[in-house]
Amino acid sequence: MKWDVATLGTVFWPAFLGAALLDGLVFTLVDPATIEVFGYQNVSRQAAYTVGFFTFWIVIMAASAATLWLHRIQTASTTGSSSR
Amino acid sequence: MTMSSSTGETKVVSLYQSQKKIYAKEVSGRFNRIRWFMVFFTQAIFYGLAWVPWNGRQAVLFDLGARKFYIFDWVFWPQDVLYLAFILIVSAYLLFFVTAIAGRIFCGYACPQTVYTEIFMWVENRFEGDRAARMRLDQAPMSWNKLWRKGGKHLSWVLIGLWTGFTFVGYFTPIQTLAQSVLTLSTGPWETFWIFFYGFATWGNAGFMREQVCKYMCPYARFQSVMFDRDTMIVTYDGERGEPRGGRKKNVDAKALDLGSCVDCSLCVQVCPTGIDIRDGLQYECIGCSACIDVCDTVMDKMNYPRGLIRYSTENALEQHWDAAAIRKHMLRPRILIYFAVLVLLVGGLFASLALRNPLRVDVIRDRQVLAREVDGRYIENVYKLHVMTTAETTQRLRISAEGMADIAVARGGEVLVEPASTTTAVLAVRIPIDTAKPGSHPIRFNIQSESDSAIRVSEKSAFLVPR
Ligand code: SF4
Ligand code: SF4
Repeated sequence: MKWDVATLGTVFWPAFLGAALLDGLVFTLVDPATIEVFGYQNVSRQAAYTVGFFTFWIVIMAASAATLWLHRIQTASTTGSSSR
Repeated sequence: MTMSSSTGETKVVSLYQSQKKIYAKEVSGRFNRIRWFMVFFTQAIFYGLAWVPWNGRQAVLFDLGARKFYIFDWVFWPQDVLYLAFILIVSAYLLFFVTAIAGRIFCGYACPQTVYTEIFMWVENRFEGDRAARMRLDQAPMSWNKLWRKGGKHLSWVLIGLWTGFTFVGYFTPIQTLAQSVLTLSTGPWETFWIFFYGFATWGNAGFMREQVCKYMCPYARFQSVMFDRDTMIVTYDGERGEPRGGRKKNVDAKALDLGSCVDCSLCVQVCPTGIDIRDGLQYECIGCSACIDVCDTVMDKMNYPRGLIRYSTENALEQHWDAAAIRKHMLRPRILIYFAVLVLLVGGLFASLALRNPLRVDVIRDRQVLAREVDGRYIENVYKLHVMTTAETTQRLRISAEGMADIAVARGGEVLVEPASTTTAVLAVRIPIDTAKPGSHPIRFNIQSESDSAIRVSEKSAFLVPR
């Protein structure tokens, strides 16, 4: 199976938008300065927003890539072609 | 829409094709001038607005560190997220509306992807020369000439990227302070990270990804067919007039040769930033940049043919040979009028709700730790926590009174001072004379009123507890 720039792009970009949206939503509801992360209290807001954003991005990208991959092997097996 | 069936095939193929680098030829012409105007206009706003002061602060600032958003006179708290969501929805809707009328006009003239690509290509052309020269340079082995041209280009790109990243971060953290810390090399780790990240993204997207962002990554590009109809303005090639295409000398009679107006010079393909041939019909890759219109017009001028072999038109207009007036008439179709009515309602609603927005918000929380108690054997006292939040930009002295029970009075904390656009918490004690109310919970109401501005006031419901 081929993962070229165009294909990776389809995984990157919508996930990026989704992560930005989720980051905005989550940190609108939760003020990171008021929470405890693994017992640490003074979580910097900037740090939380940034780490949150990239965590969301990575997770959404992973899910999208998995969907794409599953979809491809599925269509490949139903059309009988031996792509991998 | 015709985009689907005829190009469904190529869509699948091109997704797996290895990417060929596109060397777009530079164009000039009226639409190109409009695009450059838009480049200057949008970027003057983007790079400039961050520096505009307003009420002694930055006019537009999404202050993440302080969890406060400023847009000119408006101050938003996280609690105002609905307004922001609404603003985003209205913007998206506006985009749909414009798309239904004028197709991908946003893509071609105002999308950041287009704007930065345009700027980066301009730089590229200055350093590496025109299309043919760039192709030759890429083929050539490394030399001093190649090194300084490529190096100069990248240096300029990186500088533009970093400035863009810096400006971007300047919308989320006050740009004046940010500038100072950049000059003294003392930016915080997260700010540094985002400046470089955004700068890198700009450099990559405008320098390398370019049309691939539009072709493969942008959901809006693919989503548009929903908003398109046969009266949507698109860039079209007039096949009836152009075909059969073919080369010819100037001033020969095309009719005698049985040729259409297209001289098959392929310039329209060379200038296309997405590398397609508009003569094959409407394709989803076309970002509506109208570079092909500009270049074909120059060809038509040279040949002394009328302009507009490639032009803005609509599917219906092309088929039915409408003139500009007829196109304009069909622009106001029911779909557009309905879209427009909804848009007016949305925008009107937004501004009305923003104008009517109360600058003061108070949450009254009964203090659970301090139960209702007897004081001096004469009063029953309840204690409340007041969360006061104001978007007013002057300091407010607030007076708090209670009502809803006989002889209810505020004993302590009846006056609160709040700084401009800030929050504060206050403790409020309220009493009633003993034995004037039955045990249990009684509804009461707090009136919070600014001393200086009578328009700034709210009333909040709460409950008064009388113990047994
Ligand atoms: S630029 Fe105009 S004349 Fe030249 S090939 Fe394209 S459509 Fe034909
Ligand atoms: S076909 Fe024409 S309008 Fe469309 S992207 Fe290419 S040059 Fe721009």
